[in-house]
Amino acid sequence: MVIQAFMQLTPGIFMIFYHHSLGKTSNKKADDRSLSFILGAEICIAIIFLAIYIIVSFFVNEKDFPSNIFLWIMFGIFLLEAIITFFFYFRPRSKKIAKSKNTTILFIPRHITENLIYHAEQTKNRSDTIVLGMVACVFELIFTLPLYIISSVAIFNISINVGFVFIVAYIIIATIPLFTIRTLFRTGHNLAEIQRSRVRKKTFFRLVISISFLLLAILIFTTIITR
Amino acid sequence: MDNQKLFKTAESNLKIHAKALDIAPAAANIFIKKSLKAAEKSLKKRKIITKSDLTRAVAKELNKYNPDLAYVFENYDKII
Repeated sequence: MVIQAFMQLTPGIFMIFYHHSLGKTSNKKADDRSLSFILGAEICIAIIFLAIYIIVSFFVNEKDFPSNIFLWIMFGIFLLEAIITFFFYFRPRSKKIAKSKNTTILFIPRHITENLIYHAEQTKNRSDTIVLGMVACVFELIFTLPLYIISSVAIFNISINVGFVFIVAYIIIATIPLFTIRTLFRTGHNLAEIQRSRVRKKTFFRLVISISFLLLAILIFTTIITR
Repeated sequence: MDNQKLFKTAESNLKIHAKALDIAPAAANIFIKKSLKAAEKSLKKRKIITKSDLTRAVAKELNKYNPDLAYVFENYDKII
């Protein structure tokens, strides 16, 4: 949950979209559309979570679920994610953009980024915005998919009611950054201020994500050892 | 993209950014035009003007009038 809350792609797209909406339409419309974006992101998280939950449920009747092989794979993935997020989550500075020292350019290829920015600017109605929110979540899957898998496995060990509360909490916590950005925009902060603060906290975000992935890897490792 | 089109795109983008940043339209129009003119002057010697050349030149000029607008214009495509 915490890791997903610190991911930066969805908030980035949301900022561009909200800023552009403010520049093109009235504040009320922009506010309204921003809620659609958040709704889209929440729907996408819920769909992915439930899809993975169903996939995991096929294996839950196996004797030694979760098997050691599965746990070793997850351990490897989390370790890899910890290394990748530390070095590559925010793109290392290239010569082209050397003059602008501090940016929050992310891991995704540039042509995809340009496409995302283009679509964030072209949203015209609520359905467009919902789809944009969903697409933003999908592009983050490279880092969030293992989290969904391990959370789904964890849910099987608790009762169905607590599991439902867990899923709802997951969705809410994952979208807290979007609500925060929305509140900031509504309380008079502009894109420049929000982006400056994002740049200042860039290293912190990277460290939190990376250390959390590492902690998850250690947790899985100890689970395997103590079995 | 030819230079004229590049300048026009920059101007319309700047107007959108200015509205989003809640800058008074009349004032924004004045300093956007001034910045574009100054940028055009500074890039006069170049045969080919790229988007990033223009962005940097305009942002440098805009910084004198409104730092927030200059920052947004320069870093807009570096947010994600």
